[in-house]
Amino acid sequence: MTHPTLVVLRKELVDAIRDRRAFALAMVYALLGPLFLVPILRATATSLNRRENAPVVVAMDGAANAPSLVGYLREHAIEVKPFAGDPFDAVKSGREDVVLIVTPEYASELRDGRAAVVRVVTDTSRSTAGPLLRRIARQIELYGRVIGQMRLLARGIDPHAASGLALEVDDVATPESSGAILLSGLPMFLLLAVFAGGAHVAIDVTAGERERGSMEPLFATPLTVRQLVLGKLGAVLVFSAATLLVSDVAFSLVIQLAPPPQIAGMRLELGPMAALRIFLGTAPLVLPVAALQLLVASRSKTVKEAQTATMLLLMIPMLPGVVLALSPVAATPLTMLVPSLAQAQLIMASLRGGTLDPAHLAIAFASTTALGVLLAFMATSRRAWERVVAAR
Amino acid sequence: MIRVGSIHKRFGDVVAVNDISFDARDGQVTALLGPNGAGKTTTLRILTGVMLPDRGAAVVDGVDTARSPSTARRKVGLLSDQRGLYTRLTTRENIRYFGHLHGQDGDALEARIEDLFALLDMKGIADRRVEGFSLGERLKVALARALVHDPSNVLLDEPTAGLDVMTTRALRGMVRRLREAGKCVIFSSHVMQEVDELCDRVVIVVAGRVAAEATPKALREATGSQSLEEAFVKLVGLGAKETKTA
Repeated sequence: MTHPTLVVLRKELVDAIRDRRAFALAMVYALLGPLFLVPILRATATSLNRRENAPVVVAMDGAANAPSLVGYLREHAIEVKPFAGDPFDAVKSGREDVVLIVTPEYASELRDGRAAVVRVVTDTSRSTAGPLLRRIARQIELYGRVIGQMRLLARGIDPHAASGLALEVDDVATPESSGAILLSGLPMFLLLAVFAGGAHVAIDVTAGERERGSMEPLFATPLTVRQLVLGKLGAVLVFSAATLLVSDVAFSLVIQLAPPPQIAGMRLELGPMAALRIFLGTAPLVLPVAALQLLVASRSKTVKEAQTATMLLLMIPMLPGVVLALSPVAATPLTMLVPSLAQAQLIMASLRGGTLDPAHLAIAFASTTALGVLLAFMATSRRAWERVVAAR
Repeated sequence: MIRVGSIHKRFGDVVAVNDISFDARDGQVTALLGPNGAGKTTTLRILTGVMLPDRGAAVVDGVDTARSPSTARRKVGLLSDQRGLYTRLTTRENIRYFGHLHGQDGDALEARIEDLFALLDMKGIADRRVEGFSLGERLKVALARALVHDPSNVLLDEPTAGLDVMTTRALRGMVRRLREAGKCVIFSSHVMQEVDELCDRVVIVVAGRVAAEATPKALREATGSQSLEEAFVKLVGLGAKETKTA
């Protein structure tokens, strides 16, 4: 004979799967992140790339005076078009963002070993002018430095004498960890899947059961309250975990099949191992979430009230997700004590490509499971359910 | 056999049941009557062990419903006032679920379900989902579900409410059959003519107390009434007065 709790679990699963609309809604939550976040990442990456390396055209008055400068700029994806007229008028009226002016004296200044002047007319209050100016200014400065070094060499002086300091930057960010900044929206969507996946089941097996009037006959069967409610809790757990899994796998597939383009060394990767780590790291959260939803939904008088209450619970996955996206909090044993925040950080750590700290994993698992067991105990207490069954 | 011994139950400041005692014997249909809010539903809930009495005890076939609720519930079939079916499951699945919950399984359970389908003339709806069933069809499913474990005690909370003539007749036939099979049937209703015709004993509950307990005939005679309805109105009035003076 099947264990009574399994009888309840099986029936609740069949019932929930046949609830087409609720089932579809859970799937929507699971796929929300993969289908929206990843395309947004692609778009961001593409536009960043375009700004970095796309060829631009700049107007230059007197280009004929500096053929070598024009050649150098062209090599660095800055095309020069000849300009004639009033540069101030052209910039003020918005026809040009930047106008370069090379005077006829440019060639003689260079030849005489003086600083040849290149003037720039621009309006930095315009958003498109700033990035363009910075890019052009950097290339012109680099070109000027090359000329200066050649002059020093020609005079028998080590060019390094002209530099008092050399700044060297070592960036320890791996490509994965830089990509993870862009992916910081991902923990939020995965935690959302945990919360949203079982919510409709939690409501249906409690407030829904009462609204249908089937609660009383059910509690009049020989099962103990704990046996019954554990079966219901099991159904919520299955849906919550399945939604998490679907979301995780979908993220992994979408990122692997259509990887967002690299952004200056940033690589977004979520392979099978990282996806598995994310699932195992996040799965313990399913228990406290399901128990909390069951507790809240069973104390609600109607399905509507239960829906409102579980919607408020959705704030819980949002908070650590938003915090991590805005200002990353370092993962410490202390943050691992906080369910939901701990899982968000474990997901981030998995995305960064490193292995997870076993101590962190253990603390997160212990504290999350302890909370889950406590909530499950409260959710299945006989005393509380007597009121639930009786209330109309 | 159900014995209710001076049970009390209060919810906060509201006293729902204030000392109710009665016996319901095997092979008899016992009517539990009373105005709305008199404490009938609370009494039935204590009988199924869904609720615990604050004082007193309900005993089903010698088992205290508060001390051993699981054992007591095996001996009771409940048809609640809201039929409460799972609309996404078929008739058969609804009944089979409760069979499983009562510890039944396999061929014996399937055979029992087929018997109930034949008995209640519900072969046509056996494998349809319950969504959209008429009141009569819902009653049949709920009744089959209450009887699936062949309980020796059957609680029927307003079974005929909202039914058409044909289904009402089928239900009354079923109640008579249960009585003939020696079951203890408790029947709550607001239709006095039906109670007069069907029930062996009547327990009238007013404001959480038993106002009268006797056969329908004895109640009519004691109050000098032509009909049970008249007797009921008189007894409820008396019961309400007593509660006030007490």
